[in-house]
Amino acid sequence: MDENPSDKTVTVEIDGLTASWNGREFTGDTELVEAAKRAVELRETVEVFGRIPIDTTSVDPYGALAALSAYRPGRVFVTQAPEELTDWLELVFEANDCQAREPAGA
Amino acid sequence: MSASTREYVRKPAGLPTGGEFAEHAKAGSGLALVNYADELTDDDDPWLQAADEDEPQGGKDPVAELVQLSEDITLATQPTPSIMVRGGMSPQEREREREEAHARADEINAARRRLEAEYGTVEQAVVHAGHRVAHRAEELAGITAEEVGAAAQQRLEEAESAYNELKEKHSALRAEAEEMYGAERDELTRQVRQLDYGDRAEVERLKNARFAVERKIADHSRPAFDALIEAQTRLGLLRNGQDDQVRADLRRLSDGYLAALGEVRELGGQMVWHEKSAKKAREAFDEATAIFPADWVAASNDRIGGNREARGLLGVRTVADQAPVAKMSSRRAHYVDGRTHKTKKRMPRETVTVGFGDEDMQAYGRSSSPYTEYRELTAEERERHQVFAGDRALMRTQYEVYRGPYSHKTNPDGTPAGRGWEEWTDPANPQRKVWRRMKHRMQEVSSEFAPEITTNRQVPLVEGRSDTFAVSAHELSHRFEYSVPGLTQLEAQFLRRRTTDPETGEPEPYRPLWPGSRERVQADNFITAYTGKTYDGEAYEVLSTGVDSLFGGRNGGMVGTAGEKADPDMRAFILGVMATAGRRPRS
Repeated sequence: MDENPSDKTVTVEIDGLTASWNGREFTGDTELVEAAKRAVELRETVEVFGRIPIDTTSVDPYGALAALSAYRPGRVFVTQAPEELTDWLELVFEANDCQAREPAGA
Repeated sequence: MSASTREYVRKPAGLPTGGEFAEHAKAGSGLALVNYADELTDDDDPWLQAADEDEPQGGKDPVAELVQLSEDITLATQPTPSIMVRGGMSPQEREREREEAHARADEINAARRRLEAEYGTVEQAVVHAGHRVAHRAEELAGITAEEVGAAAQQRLEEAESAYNELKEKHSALRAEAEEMYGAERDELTRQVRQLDYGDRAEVERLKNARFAVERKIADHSRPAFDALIEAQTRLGLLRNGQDDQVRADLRRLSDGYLAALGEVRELGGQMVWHEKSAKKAREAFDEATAIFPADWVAASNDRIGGNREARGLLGVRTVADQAPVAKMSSRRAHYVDGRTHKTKKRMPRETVTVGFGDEDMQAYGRSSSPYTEYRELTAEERERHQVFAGDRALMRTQYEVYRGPYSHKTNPDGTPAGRGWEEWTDPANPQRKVWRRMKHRMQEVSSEFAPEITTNRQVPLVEGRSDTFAVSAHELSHRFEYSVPGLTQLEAQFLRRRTTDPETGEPEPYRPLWPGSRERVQADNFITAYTGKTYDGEAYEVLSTGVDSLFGGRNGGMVGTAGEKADPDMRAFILGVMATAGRRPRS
């Protein structure tokens, strides 16, 4: 059975503009959608949040997030994402970039 | 218009002789340059020109002015002194302590007031200093940030336009070829499908014919296709800031910043690293250290050996501050100001036993089982394991026994493969022999509390910089936040100004980067919203993202490459902090 594409929806906001990936294609504000399509076309690697380099695609939520961020990668806020993507982001950001001391139990 | 409010014009005041500054002798940044000062006259010196414009009466040395400003900023960002009355102090000593603290507080307050009177806030004084450094840096580099940004933007637009044109041309040629050969190809495809697959020779002939037609279609647009791929690559590089010209321009600017900062204060130095640091990590951080003020490096080194608090399971204890442990990492790079570093060693799997093995030891002097071995404890082991005199205890070592090719890798000659195997003979039955080897475990042999700094590799965006440079500079900034008094205070003031609505005074709310995320930021209009992240007021991402941008080329170098916007205000703040903060008194 096909997975419901809407379960994979990734929506981002960049400087008041929004766009989504619904599991297949990009929709939303033209600037973001055009930049996303172009990034996929150029097979770009985008530094999401200006921090994490991810290869752009339109076939999985990770690459789709990268594509949706292409307009201004450092300015992206994710407003909707499947759990697998947010779990992965949590994992990537697990170690704090900077901290006074190690977390308890570390 | 006073010097403090004057808007600096960024256009070079006529010194397009950059390049030689890449070898500024005072930069201490690993750059190898001639001393340009020998080759220039006062007429060429933009510091003097800037001073003339600012101070009609002239006569003031702008470098000396900046140094004075730096001293005020350093003083104004010192913590207000507290009076420490210790037991055993005489009334006179107490009084002296009190007077000294008051005098120090007066000095700090006077510096704050001076800066506030002239610049509005201490942070604005830093930004003012930063604009002057930026101005001078551009003079020295022979190129301005605006020029770098505008040229990069123009190349990006040209590359976009070339790519779009070639894409259209390629599509048109593909369509033309389809018109010329498409029907022929479709006919061959139809024939292949209808053919009896028993006639293999005919199938092969038709397939080859169709392939030849497809090749004609591709060849018709091949030059356009090759040009399109080239344009695509070029566009990709420009969009990612990896274009050679952008990287070269950012290097010129970066060298200009270092040369200008090098005129105001000494840069570089040798960070002291913990002995457990990895060699490659040390080298990576040493390269990045060259861009930071020598005073900051000294402040980091001076912390070592002092007292600090360490929080553990048993509460807070005072420990000696250690040098940072530098590591390479494939995961997210980070700086932790204090963590427990455990040293583990591969040790034989041994346990102290009482009542086991006595019979074997009496009968054979060793174990009768291949899985264990016994030996007497040494005096040191008896003490460590608290075995009382007269008590009978043995050290038991565990062994792994070879049980054939189904359980272990085996050599062609039938012996077990791998290291450490020995042939064991049963003391009770010498005919019985087996292969065995000692079992090991990783055992903690020591632990200590020390800062940790890690770096990793990223595509370098500044010509001549290594792939660890930007990340190392970013993480070193965090180290200095914890080592140089006043840095975080200035970052907090900058962040507050940028993220506060000037009309309502309301701070911009923190926002998670993704739903439920702990990564919460005040995005302002920073190039990367991550700049607006704070760590409970203990550390910030302002200096770190600023430094990795200006010297590591990230975020479009903060000057508008890679399709990013420029942020001259933040650039000035970063350069101002580097020029003025954490200055140490000179003897």
